Amino acid sequence: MIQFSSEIGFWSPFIYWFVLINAIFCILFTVVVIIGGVFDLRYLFRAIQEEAIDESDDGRVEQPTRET
Amino acid sequence: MNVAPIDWVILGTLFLGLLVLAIWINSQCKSVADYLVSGRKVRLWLGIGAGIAGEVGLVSIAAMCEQGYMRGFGFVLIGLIAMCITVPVFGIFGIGIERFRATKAMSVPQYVEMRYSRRLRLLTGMFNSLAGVLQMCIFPIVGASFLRVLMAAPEYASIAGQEIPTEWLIMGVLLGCAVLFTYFGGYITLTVTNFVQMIVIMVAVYWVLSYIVADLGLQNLWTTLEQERGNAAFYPFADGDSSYGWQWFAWMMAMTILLQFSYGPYLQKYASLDKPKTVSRSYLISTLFGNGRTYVIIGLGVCALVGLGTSPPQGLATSDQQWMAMATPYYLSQVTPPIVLGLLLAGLLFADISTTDQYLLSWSTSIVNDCVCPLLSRPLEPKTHIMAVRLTIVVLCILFFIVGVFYEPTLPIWEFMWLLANIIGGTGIAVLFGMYWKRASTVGAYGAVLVSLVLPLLDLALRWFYVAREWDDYPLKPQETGLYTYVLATITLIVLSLSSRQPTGYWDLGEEVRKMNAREASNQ
Repeated sequence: MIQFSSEIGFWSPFIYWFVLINAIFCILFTVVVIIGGVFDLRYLFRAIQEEAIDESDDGRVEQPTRET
Repeated sequence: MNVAPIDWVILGTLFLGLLVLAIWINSQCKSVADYLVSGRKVRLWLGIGAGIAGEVGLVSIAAMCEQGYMRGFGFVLIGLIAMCITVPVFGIFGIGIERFRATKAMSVPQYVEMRYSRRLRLLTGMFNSLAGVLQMCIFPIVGASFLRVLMAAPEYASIAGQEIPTEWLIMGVLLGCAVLFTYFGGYITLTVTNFVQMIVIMVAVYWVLSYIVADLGLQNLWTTLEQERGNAAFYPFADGDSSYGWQWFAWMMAMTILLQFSYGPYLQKYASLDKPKTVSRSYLISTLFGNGRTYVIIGLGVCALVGLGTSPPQGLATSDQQWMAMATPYYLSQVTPPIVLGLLLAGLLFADISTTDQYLLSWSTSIVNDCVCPLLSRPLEPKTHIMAVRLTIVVLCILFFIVGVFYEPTLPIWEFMWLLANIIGGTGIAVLFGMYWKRASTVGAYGAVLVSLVLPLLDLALRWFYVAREWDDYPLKPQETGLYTYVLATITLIVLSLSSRQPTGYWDLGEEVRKMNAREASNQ
C-alpha cells in the first residue's frame, strides 16, 4: 500500500487513484476499440465498393450565399 | 547510439508492414470524397481508434512529457474538470459538432461560405491554414529532437565530409514518411493506418511505463514527486510558478470548446463519420475512457523527474527551456532495454506519422479547397484535385524542413501550439454563433476572425522581439493574451451583428441533424 505525504493532504491520494483507475480503464477500452474497429473496417471497405461516385462532392458550394 | 540491431529489426518490420497496407488501401480510393473524408463511411469504433492515433502525435507526446517533468500530474485535475464540462456539451448534447456534420461540409471554411460569404471563406481558409501550418512547423523538429536524444545519437553526423546536425536528418526521415503515407490514398489510408498505429502506440507506451515504474518502485516514485514538486504536482491551482492557475484553465477551456468547431483536423474527422449522432457518441466514449493514455504519457515525464531530479546532469550543456523538453527522452535512453526500445521507437515513429499525416492532409485540403478552388472559374477534375492536394503536402513538408532548421524555442511546446490555435479559435466563434444565432452577420464574423488573428500574432512577434533584444521577461502570459483575445472577438461579433441590418444566411441545422440520423438509422 502506498504511503502519501500528510503535508499535501487530499490531492495526492486522489490523483494517485484517479490516474491508476483511468490507466486501467484505458487498457480495457483499447481492447474494445480494437475489436469494434475490425468490424467497422470490414463495413468501410464494403460501403466504399458499393457507393456510387459523386464527382460534385469535392468541397465546392454550388450556390454561394450573398454578401451581407 | 544506444539502438541495438534487434530494435532496428522491430522498427523496420513494423514500418514495412504498414507501408504494404497503405499501398493496398490506395487501390480502394475512388473519389475526392474518399480521399478527403473516407467517403463519410467511418463508423464509431474505427473513428475512435483512428482518432486516438491522430491525437497522440510525437509532438504531443514530447509536450506531455515536458509538462509531466515540469508540473507532475497537475494537469490531471484540469483534465477532470474539463471533462465534466465537455462531456455534457459535446458528448451528450453534441452542441455544434453534430450540426457541423449535418452541413456535409468537408472543412470549416466551406461552412463559412454556406452561412456567411465566399470572401469570408477565403479569409478564414487562409488564416486557419496559416495558423495550422505555423503550428505544424515545429512538429518535425520537436519530434526529431526527442528521437535524437532518445536514441542517444550524436549531435552531428558526418556525410560526405560534411558535419550535418543529426536532428535535420531525422527530421528529413519523419517528413519523408509523412509524404509517403499521405500520398498513398489520403484520408481513407489514414483512417486504416491510424487504427493499426494506435495499437502499436498504446502497447509501446504502456509497456515502457510499466517497465520503468517496476524499476523505480511505485512508493519511491510517488514520494519523490511529492518532495520535488509539492502540492503543485497534484493541485493545478496551488500558489507558485510551477502550477497552472485558474486563468490558464479558463483559456484552455475556451479553446477546447471553440476548437471543436474550427480546428481543421478535428472537423475533417467529424466530416468522415457516417452520421451526426456518431460524432457526439465517439466524443463521449473517447473522452470518458481515453484520458488514461494522456496520464500514462505524462507519467513518463514524472518518471524522468524522479529518475534525474530537477537539474540536468553535470557536463550536459543545455538551457533550462531545452532541458525541460529533453529530460524525458534523455531518461528513457538511459533506462529502456533493447526490444522495448525498438517497440517504443516504432510507436513514436507511428505517432508522428499518424498525426503529421492527419494534420498535413487537413491543412492541404483547406489550402486547396478553401484558398484555391473558390478562385477558379470551373471545378477541378477529380484527379487534378487530388494531385493539387498531394503537391501542397510536398510543398508544406519542404517548408517545415526549412523552418525546423532555423527554429529556436521561446515558449514551452504546448503554449506555442495553444497560442497559434487561438487564431483558429476565432473562426470557432463565428461558426458557433452562425449555427445557433440567426442575427450573426457576415460583418460580425469578419470582426471576430480578424481580432483572433491580429492579437496572437502580435503577441508571438513581440515575444521573439523581446528574446532577440534580450529584454526583461515579456509582461503577458500566453493564457492572458489568449483569453482576452476570445473575449474581445466575441464582443466584436455580437456588437457588429446587432448593429447590422442586413439579412443573414442562417438555416435550421437542428432539423438537418434529426433527418440525417433517422435516415442513417433506417439504412442500417
